[in-house]
Amino acid sequence: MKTRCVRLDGTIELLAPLSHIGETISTTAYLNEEPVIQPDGTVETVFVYNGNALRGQLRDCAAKYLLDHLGGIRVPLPAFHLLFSGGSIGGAQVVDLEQARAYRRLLPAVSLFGGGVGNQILPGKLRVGNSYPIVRQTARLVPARYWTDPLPDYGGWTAEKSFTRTDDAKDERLRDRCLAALGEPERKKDGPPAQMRYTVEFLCAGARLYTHLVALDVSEIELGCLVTAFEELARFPYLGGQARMGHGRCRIAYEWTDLTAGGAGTPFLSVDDRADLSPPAAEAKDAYDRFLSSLYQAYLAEHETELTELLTGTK
Amino acid sequence: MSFQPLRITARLAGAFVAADPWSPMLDAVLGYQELRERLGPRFFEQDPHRDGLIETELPLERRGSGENWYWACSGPQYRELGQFLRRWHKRFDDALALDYADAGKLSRINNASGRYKNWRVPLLCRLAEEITWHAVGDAAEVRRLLLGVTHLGKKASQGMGQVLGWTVEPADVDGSEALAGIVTRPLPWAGSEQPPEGAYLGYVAIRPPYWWHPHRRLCSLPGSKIC
Repeated sequence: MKTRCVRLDGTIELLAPLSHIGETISTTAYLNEEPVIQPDGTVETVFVYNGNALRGQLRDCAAKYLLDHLGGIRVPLPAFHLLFSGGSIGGAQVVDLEQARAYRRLLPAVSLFGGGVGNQILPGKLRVGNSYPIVRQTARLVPARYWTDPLPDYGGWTAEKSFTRTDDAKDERLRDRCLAALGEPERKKDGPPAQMRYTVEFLCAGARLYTHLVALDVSEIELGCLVTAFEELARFPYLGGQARMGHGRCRIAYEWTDLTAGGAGTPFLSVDDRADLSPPAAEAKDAYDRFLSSLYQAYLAEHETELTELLTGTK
Repeated sequence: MSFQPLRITARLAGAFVAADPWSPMLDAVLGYQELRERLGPRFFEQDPHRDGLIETELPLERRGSGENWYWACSGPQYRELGQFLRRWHKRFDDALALDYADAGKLSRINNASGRYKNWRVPLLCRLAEEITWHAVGDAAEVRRLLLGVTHLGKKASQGMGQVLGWTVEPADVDGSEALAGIVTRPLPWAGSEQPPEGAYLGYVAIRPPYWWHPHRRLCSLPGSKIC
């Protein structure tokens, strides 16, 4: 099986404010910020979108694409947990090589993102980097080809926004629709507050972040699985929290470098309201789709296939 | 291969994750790369507990004797600019479970304990501009192996320990075991268990994989005076 190491570099452009909470104090949620080293050796603090957050979202997207293309099957909880959260380790102290190989062969998503099966850890092949705003403070981390001239300062790229959650039961205009007003027992005093004002710190819309990831020793099918994760992300291109209010909407574009063959980065894919794939990305996705199609045909033809056994936990 | 004293430097993008100040050991990083190259796709299916340990062949000089051999490569040396805690999360995706999971007879899922437990795990992150190792080895081969090393330390999957570039250059002195009279890597200790003044002893592994228990020996630890 031919494999290669691939590096994707690109940008995330925020089309709406991004919420990615680091800590919460009282009713205010603050952005996730970390110290980064400056060219002169000093340290400054800037926002970082954790690699694990993007990785988790891509894992969910890859799993959704897989199950949707296997006819929308519902899988037992252990298989669901493996596909969407990476599973867990535990149970009998048995390491089953054949089972590990079967997972890698039949579930490229597990091979790519890794996971815990039984008592085994299947190492993943994907390394999703932290995403940093492209500002003066991160110039040491961001390749110069993504810089703008001049590089903006990070100060002023964040803002706080306050929201109010109203207890409509106290609204006189709606009082006749409330059971409490009609004689139902009152809510307990120590129950959760129904009315509050809270504040969230955001990274401002329009901000650009540098993003990168590395896929180690991936086959064409595994690379295709990664492409489908981004294609699925394009159906709902939101990062971070508060997406229900439209926050985190973004546009993502990646270039790719084949680290095995060498060469400079060329456009790979972009995610907006839809995914635009370059020819190499489209070819990888086709290979994965053909693989899924054959898997699905086998699944339809014979319900006791290896795949069914794996997904239903009977193997 | 022609061996010479080397000074190897990794320029880091940000923080790296290591539980102790002696990690990451460069011979372990080189061993990982060597096995990846040698085994190809089979690399990700290996388990030393099941398949037995595969000895690596590194472009470094072997030192020591008998079972107490080790590679001529120091531990990491860096100026720590700070430490901070980052937390990573793992959670059961209950919203997606409604569409994609078949819970069978289970009416509720316990995500406070057990196999579906939600996690919030702290990581000790160390901030350093660069990490340097001293070794005795073949510069060209070391440089070639390091080309494929993109991250160092734990949680590379989450982007920690990203390497911006490598420098491999000849060094004037051999610092693979000690520099200026101070031990730079765990060295098997043959003396009495009562260490002399300035020496620190402990049971640690002397060659990769460093988590492999049979590799542990009573050692003079990095930071000790040469005795």
